[in-house]
Amino acid sequence: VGSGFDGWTDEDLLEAARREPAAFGALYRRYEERMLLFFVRRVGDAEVAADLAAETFAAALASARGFKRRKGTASAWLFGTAHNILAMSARRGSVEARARRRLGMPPLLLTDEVVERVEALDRRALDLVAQLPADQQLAVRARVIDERDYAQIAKDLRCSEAVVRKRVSRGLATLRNRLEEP
Amino acid sequence: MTLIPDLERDLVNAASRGATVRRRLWLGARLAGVAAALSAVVVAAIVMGSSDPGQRATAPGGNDRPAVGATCAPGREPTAADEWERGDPRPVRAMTVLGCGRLWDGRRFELVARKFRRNGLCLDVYIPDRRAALECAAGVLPHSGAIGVTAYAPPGGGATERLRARALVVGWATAPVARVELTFRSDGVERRRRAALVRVRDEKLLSAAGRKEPFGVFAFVPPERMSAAHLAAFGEDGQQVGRARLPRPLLKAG
Repeated sequence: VGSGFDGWTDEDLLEAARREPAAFGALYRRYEERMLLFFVRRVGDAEVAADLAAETFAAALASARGFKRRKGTASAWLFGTAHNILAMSARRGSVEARARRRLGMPPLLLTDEVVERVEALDRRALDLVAQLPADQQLAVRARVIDERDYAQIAKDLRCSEAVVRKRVSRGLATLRNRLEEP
Repeated sequence: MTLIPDLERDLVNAASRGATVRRRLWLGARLAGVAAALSAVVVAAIVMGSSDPGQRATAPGGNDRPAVGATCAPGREPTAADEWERGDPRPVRAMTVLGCGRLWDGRRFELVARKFRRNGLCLDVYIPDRRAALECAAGVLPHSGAIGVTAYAPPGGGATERLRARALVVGWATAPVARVELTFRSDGVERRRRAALVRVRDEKLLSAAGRKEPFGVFAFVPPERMSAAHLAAFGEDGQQVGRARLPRPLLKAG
């Protein structure tokens, strides 16, 4: 991440965002790709995905004071926010923009290059999933792409939930490392 | 390096503003507390029954108007319609938003049906944050084919100057068109960009647009450098249903 926040956990960054704006910038850099990927896999449109990601980060910033580390990780909290934004936008039929309005943020400016990079990210992620070992690939696809319960996946794969969790966790760690490679 | 550097900057700026506001609020609360205590002492000492009503505080720059173009309200009046700098002087009877889209440079637009008091109607591509539009841009159906360019505002012209756009291309799409793509070459690479397409299918909106059949209107800001460009229309199933040429000056510019 650089810029002085290397040793900080995500939770540290989220809590520090209340008094140190740069900490939220560091958190954004850590989660940007994963968040864009989360949305682009669900909506299939890079521009809409970028808009949804912007709204999610804005909502996270606006409610950072509500984050309690004893209740869960910053990652779970952020993606919980992402799920809510996606659900609200789907209900309204347009991308939520309340948090950005509240924070006085300007509309997101997307250039051709940005859209292309987000689209490429999606392609790259799918390629990376395809490169995982078969057992991890099945588990990651079932859990992350198809959003199925661990119990269901375990039943289908005829193994325990703990094994599925381990495969998903290892698969995601590999993907994260590869995504962070230049 | 992030994928969307502007977003990181905007978030950090918003976080900075938030921190400043909170500090001001905290300081304000402390000062208000001190002031309240002092005034209580003064009031008790003087024992006056003054009932001077306090002024209601107003937020600095308090403006409750929603961010321009942030929401889309089909069936309603366009955003900030009263501030729209219209070039067309004809008196208007009704203006109705038919749908919204976003141009590649991030600006949102509203497709507006503008009914005149006398006969006639125009479909405008209105950009709320500029309070200006490419007026009567989409009122003419293509003679044949699934799509057709109906208006082109060159850079530096009246409309694009008001819109502060490089240039703007608007076109009409028939009902089956679900996607319009511009294919072009730039820097030696073939590129494809999706034009913003507003599809009008609701009966009330069609009536406001003076049409019976569903239709669509697409708009895009053409890339600065391009060659070998053409537009292609695709249906819901992803199959190409038509093609269209771009205005000649645009191709020459490439």
